[in-house]
Amino acid sequence: MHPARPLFRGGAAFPMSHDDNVPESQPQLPVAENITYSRGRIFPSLGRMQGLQEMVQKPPGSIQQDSCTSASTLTSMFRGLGFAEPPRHPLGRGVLGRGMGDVEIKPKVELPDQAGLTQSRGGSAGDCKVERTLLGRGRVLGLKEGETPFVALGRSAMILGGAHGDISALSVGVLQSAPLKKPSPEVPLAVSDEQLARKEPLMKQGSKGIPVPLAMNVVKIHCQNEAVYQYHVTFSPNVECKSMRFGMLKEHKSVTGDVTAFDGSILYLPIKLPQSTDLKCQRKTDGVEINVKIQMTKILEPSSDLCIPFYNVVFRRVMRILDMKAVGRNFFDPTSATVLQQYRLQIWPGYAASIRKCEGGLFLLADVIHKVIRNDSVLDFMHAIYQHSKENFQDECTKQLIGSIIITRYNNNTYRIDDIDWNKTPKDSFTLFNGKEITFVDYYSNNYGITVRELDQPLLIHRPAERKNPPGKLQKGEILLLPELSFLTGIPEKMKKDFRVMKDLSQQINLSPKQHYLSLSRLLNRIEMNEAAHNELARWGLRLDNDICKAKGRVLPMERINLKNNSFITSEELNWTKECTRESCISAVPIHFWVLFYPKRAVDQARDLVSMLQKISGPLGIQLTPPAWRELKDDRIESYAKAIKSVLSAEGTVQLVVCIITGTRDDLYGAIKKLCCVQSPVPSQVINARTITTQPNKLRSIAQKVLLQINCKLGGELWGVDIPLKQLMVIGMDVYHDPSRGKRSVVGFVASINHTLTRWYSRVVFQMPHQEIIDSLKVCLVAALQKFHEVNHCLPEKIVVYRDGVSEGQLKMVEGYEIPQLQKCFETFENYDPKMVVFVVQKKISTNIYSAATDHFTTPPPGTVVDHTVTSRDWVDFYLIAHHARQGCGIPTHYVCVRNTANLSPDHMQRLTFKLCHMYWNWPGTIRVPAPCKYAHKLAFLSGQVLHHEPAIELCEKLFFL
Amino acid sequence: MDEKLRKDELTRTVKFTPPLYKQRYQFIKQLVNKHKPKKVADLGCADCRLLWMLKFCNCIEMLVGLDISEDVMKEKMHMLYPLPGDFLQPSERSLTVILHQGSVAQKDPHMLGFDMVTCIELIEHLEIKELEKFPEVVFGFMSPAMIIISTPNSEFNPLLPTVTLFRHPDHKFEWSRAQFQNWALDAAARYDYTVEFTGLGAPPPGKDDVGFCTQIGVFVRKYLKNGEPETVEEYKEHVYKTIFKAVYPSLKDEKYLQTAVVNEVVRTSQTIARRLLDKRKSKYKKVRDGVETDPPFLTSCFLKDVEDPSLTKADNPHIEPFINGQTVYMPLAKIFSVPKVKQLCGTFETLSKLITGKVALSNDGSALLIDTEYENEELENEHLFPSSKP
Repeated sequence: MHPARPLFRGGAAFPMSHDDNVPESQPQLPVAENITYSRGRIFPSLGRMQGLQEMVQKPPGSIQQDSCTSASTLTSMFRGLGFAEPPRHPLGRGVLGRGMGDVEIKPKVELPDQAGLTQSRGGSAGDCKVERTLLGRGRVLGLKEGETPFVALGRSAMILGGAHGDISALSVGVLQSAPLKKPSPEVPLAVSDEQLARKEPLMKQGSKGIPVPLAMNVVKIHCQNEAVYQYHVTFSPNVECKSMRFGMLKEHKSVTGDVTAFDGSILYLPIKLPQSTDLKCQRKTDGVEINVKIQMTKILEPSSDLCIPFYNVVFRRVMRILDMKAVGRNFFDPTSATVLQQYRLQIWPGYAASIRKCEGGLFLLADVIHKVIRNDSVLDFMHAIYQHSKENFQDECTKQLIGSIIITRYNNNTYRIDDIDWNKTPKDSFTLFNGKEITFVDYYSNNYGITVRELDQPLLIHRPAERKNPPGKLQKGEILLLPELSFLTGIPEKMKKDFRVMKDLSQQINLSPKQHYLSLSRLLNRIEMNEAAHNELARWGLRLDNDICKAKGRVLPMERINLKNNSFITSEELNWTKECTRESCISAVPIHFWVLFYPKRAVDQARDLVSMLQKISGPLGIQLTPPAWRELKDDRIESYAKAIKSVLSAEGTVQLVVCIITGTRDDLYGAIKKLCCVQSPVPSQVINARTITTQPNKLRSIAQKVLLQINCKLGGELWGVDIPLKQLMVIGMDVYHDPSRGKRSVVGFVASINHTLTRWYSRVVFQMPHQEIIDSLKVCLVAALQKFHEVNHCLPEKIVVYRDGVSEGQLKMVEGYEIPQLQKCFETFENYDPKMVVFVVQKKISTNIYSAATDHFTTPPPGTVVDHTVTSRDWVDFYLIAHHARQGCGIPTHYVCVRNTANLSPDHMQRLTFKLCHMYWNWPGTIRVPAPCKYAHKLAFLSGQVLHHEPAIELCEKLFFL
Repeated sequence: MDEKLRKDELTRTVKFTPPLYKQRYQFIKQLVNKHKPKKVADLGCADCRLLWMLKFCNCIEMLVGLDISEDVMKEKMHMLYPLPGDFLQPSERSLTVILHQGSVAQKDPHMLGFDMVTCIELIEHLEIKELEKFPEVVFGFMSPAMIIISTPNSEFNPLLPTVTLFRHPDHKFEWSRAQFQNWALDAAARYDYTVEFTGLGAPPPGKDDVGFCTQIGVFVRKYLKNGEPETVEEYKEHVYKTIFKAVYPSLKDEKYLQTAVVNEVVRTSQTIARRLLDKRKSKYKKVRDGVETDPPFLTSCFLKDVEDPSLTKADNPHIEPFINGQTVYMPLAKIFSVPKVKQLCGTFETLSKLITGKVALSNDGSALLIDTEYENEELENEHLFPSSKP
């Protein structure tokens, strides 16, 4: 329906083959689930309403009675028994929240992250070196434990042989093929004594909606060992050198066994040594005898958080054994590359896999991903740029290369291009570690046998992240790289705008759930078949389940869309284009005085557009008088700017500026937007003449969308959904990061200011790197509350915040620091203490959800929610697919609730979120994220990418940024 | 192997820069660059460090490591896998890297037919019985064109204060120069090799009489072997355990050659087509604007593009590309005249064969077709329509 639909929605729609639902095909499912199957067939649309199976929402601690939902019953019991663990910082994927503006494809295309550079190079022998980062934590725990060092021992004896490993396996509604075992009450005695303080199980399961069978791209890991033993190793006299410590421990393989994970002081073994073991080594440097004391400090549950890091090291080794190539932190198979010669790209299939601990136990999360790599070296690419734009060659190179990630020909590293040094060449020298000067040409020739062909190329600069340096401290060292020996990874920015390339790429990259599943099965099979690979895991007692995890989810009830005179329940596909283009929207701003700018050669398009706009304005309920016509003699930026300025300065009552431009011209678009959003604030609409001409038959629908969008920009309201919560303010936040490092990032902030959530107040703040985001948020929040009061004469009682642009590692920071700071804002108002709910919205996640209702996996229907098994152990969270995915897999959005003083129930949270996904007026359907998040994203993007400035305050009550 | 490092830690008081173990590897690398062996084996390869350095030597097509300890090899062997970059720009030579677990005292047909075999700090780790068999296995059976053997020079030991008996506890012996040379000369004589002695780690001034810290014998086989080495019947059985094998992508493999050729062909023809179009456009532009701007000053390789003879020179008007409507016709003969394409394909027939089916060709197959519609097309206006992604 959508002529300029983002590319990844293009192509063949993915049919939702409900007709294939044959209940008999999966007879092992419990009876309760059958409702799901009939939904698609018997009650095509009513199913969700009527067939709604109300599951009893259990109060905390109580045991559910409903015998028909046996899985849930078991769950509640198990949850009570579950071992709570101390909160952890998830390892592995800190990928979230990088780069903006290309949401469309990123989830499936691997983007090397800076952190990937530090990939562990652990060997493939028995021991792995646990990375330093987790060391600190591990040691702290170890010491704490050390005060009562050997409690663990006594306990261990009685626990061994317990079925603790299985407890986590039997989580909510997991349809494992294994029969549900009822554990005997004496089982849950923790092997580990690290978790004596049990945490209350989190209440996060909702019950609204229709249960559906789902599958996810996670594989259950069975821990077959009874325990992992943690030891503290002391060297006396002390040995400083870490590698020497490794060496000394290795000398005693006969004691420790081959399978070790040692970081220099903490040692993990799958075997139990005596409480204390004394060994001796001779220090080679001076012959001094060193006493090595190995003391047991803990007996860990094999799925303990402390084990996850080295399990991941082990798994990386498994991937290497399977001959997959590590790029960044993911693994690819270049031998199966697809080459797209016409675009000069290669696509490597691969996996992003990591072991993580979820509510349901230990899982391997494996995403099927692709790496897009340029066929040509960066130097070739620069030559191509030179061909295209000789005049501003250097600028163009800077624009297209900076921020890109490259891999080099001679080692396995990835680097981010931060700058280009045009004055240096490979003939220049740099200083080696030993202080010697060497030219780049000689260096590559001596070390890698590479002959540099082009001696006059400029050099690329990579500035390593100031990871450990305190902010503000001088950067030390930059890395210079040769364009000739570097390859660009990722899809070039320019191509992202090219419909054709993206369509071809998406065919390669966007796999159907079925293809996904095939690919995952292949991986599992390869591990299973490869003895070395699967021994590697078995050494630690890990065994992968032979299939991906199947679990039950729910499809949330359909929502009612409210227009001005009519309301309706959404269709299966959750799209209401027809309805909203035929009937009046909630409120329309009459357009009495608007100006149309167009270049002389687009006069026909201008006439066509205006006459069509007038034809369709009636049915939409929007009053539209003819525009003031301003014909420009050419299409230069100055012509537009001069004309717009003169009109806006002469007429104080211009409601709207509409510009027809020819071709895609970012510079012209930017100039018009800067003029209309910053300098002389007025809502503006830019239209490409081509979209009017190329599809004359579609002009009607184009005009309808343009007019609806204009209405939003002027402050009109298109549609709404029922919001039962009263006195509510919903806030969306997102951050735009400038691709060139060190530049300011832009915070977009959008808050609702009426009860139906159809009026929005927006602010933008530019902030310097390292500046606390919270300072800007306070300003925004206070302003939004004042505006709310101005409109409603009261302040909201509940505030729900959807915070995007937060990485996994920052969750704690948001909870512990940001939110309390935000709450301080309330002191600005007298006796004001609203309830607060804060969600962190994570779009770029590797979890996929497939519908398992048929023989073949399909994309789950919009509204599918999963709130157990793969969810976090530390937070109330859920996965929701709100959008209708036409192509590719259902990538859910992950919502993590980090604050809930309003005591919203899981059902409330899930349904409110889903409702908000209906509210994005640029799309008559549901989108992946709640509308305020999307608005905040668009706003931040426009301000950061185009305006480079905060928009004028006069526009803050309008959705001018659509 | 760690012990090599440790040895150097020991010798630090005498201070060799770069460290002696690196000097030993460098020594081998220089020999490889000089003699260009195709098949090289490192006996006692330990942590595969030398193999890793040698894999960058472009002459080597077969690189084999042998060590008695599987664990030690496994520790770093992943460094011997091809890199992602090797797949992007496959090398012209083929390269296979193999690691075997086994003893130098045993004969295995895997080790036949080598051009160079290196035994760096190996023999001093051998038990007497193994050492006795060593010459027969390495010189007699493997019989490579060149053998390099290095071992500590015990005469140097007094200069190493921390060394009491041997430099490493696993050493079974350490020889003086005379001992080593006697052994070496004997082996060389018996198996028809010449040997030259050298060393690394010169003694400090005033102690010149002790000789190098590491002593090295370079053995060269006197006669040339023709053809395949004859396999002795009784040693057909493989006693070594192969623990690693990596075949590097190479242009010798047709799959990669094809990718490389098509890549080059497409790139070249796009460049030429772009130039043709530019010419046409600039003519039009000149007429319209009446001015021509000079390209700005630019100091680098990119200026050369402007006058790249291979792309612009018209030797033969029959092979010049031309535009017909929306399509640029690029004669294959023209493409073949580009040096890099020629170098990759060798013959015109190979070029035709490799690109057929991979690119659009004219009916008679004599020219490559480039659709310029794509080049001219303006991009959709992404600003007009919601870029919302459901």
